[in-house]
Amino acid sequence: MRNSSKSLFLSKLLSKNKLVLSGVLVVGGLTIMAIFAPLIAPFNPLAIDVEDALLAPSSAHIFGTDHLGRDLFSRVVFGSRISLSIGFVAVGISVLIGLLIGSVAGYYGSRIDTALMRFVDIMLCFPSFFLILAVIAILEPNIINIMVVIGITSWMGVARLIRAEVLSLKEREFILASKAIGASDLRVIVRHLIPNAIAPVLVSAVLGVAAAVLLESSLSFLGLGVQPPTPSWGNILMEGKASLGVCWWLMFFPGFFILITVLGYNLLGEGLREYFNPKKKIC
Amino acid sequence: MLSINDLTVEYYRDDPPYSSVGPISANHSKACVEGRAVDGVRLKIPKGAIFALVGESGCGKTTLGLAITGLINQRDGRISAGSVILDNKNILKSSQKEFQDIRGKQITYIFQEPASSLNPVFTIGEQIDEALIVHKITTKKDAKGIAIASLQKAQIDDPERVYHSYPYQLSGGMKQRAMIAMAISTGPKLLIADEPTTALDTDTENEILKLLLKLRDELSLSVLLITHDMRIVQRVADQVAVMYRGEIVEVGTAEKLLRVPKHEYTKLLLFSMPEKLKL
Repeated sequence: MRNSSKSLFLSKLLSKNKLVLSGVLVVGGLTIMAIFAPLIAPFNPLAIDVEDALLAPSSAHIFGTDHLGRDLFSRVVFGSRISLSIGFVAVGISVLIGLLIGSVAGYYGSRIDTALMRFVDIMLCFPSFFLILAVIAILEPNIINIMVVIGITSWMGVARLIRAEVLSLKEREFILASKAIGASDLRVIVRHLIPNAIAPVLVSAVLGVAAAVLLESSLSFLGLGVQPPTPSWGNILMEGKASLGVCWWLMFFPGFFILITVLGYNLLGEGLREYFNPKKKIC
Repeated sequence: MLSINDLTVEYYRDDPPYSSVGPISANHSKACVEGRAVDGVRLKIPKGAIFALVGESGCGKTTLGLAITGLINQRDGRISAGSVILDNKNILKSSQKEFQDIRGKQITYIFQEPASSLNPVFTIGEQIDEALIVHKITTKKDAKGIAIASLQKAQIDDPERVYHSYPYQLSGGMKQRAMIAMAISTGPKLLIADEPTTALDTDTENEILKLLLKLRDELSLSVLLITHDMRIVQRVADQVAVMYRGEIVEVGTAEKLLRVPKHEYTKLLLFSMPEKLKL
């Protein structure tokens, strides 16, 4: 009963709101592309063929080739794997940290709350991009490090959202009722508070994926992200920069994919915000 | 079965206790105390009886119920004196972990507003199962059987459907029955029902009261029924305590107390009942 009414609402949301639909399509398409990259890419993204260097887009190489003769389409397709997985894992880490800190601060209140929230303020004071640059300069710039560093510098928004939700939820009677059945603090937080507070976090997580993809591209573009020859959209852009004046396709295609990824996730995030908004029913 | 001795609950004031005149009190915690919500209450709740606690709003009925289950919010107040003896053991002396085990297993609680005391994102079944799993009464696999049986005991006709329903899909009366099912699923000794029918219409109120009587007889459950409604007392209570400004002013069997009230406040309460419904 509930599933059918929920899916009905979802299908209504998708058919009425074209922006959300396009967001879903873009995100879905990119995800499929990343998962089935070996099937979609016509060439090995690492195969160098210097004789075919810097070819313009044609039927053989639909996005053209780069300065080492690698097929750009294959590199962009494989690059989506790296970019999207960094986006997902980084956001996963930031949501986990944010949930933990936000719910503990909101639930226990008083001094614990003050201490944790001042810590959040301190973290927010750092210009995070330069913090990431500094950390990556000390650590080795590999995929795992980038995921972790982006994750641990972007959880503050989630923590604030969760804290605000928990502050109002914990005064509700069903929380008292769950304590009255003998639930421990941990159980009250995990089973009763977080599931009720998750909607705004989901929205901010989806928007966070877009931000993380953009951040990874910026880092890779500066050469402090994913290291060549592994393709990521950021480092394809970086490698194409040298031949920008003559070979437009080297920057156009990876740039275009970054653009539609960020756009797609933002549209999806907006759609979810609409979906979870109790005041604005779409009917 | 449960006896409460000299229980006193103090509550704090919101603003800091410094007054412009006079020295700042040396004893900070004492200076914070605004007053006593529950003041030296003595009660004995026998096994298998419905014990009604009546009084006007703000007289400390709910605070007493919360104090028995250790649910007084530490920011708002504290139990400053007294003991609550359940089966020869002062449960107020138990650790937080022991108290978690008493709450929901030995003493369960149902609230005034069934709509807000159920978690909106879980089904009724999941919430009853949780109570059983928290107290290790059963495993996740076998919880459903007990939950369905409790729903049946709470006189829900279609337990399978209710088990899979979300709170918003049920009526107020159904939700309160589901709350009762949850409260009896763990086989408690005492059920504290805090104004369980105030949010319901008269028909549903009747059914819920009948249900409480049935549970008292079938499960020999003790019920602490918190209410402000003398009609409810008259209908279901075995014993009554009248509470006024945090103190118990009169205790007795329902029959006697309603017929020959001794305390002036009890007389006033009875006088406030609509004429037709008086004894």
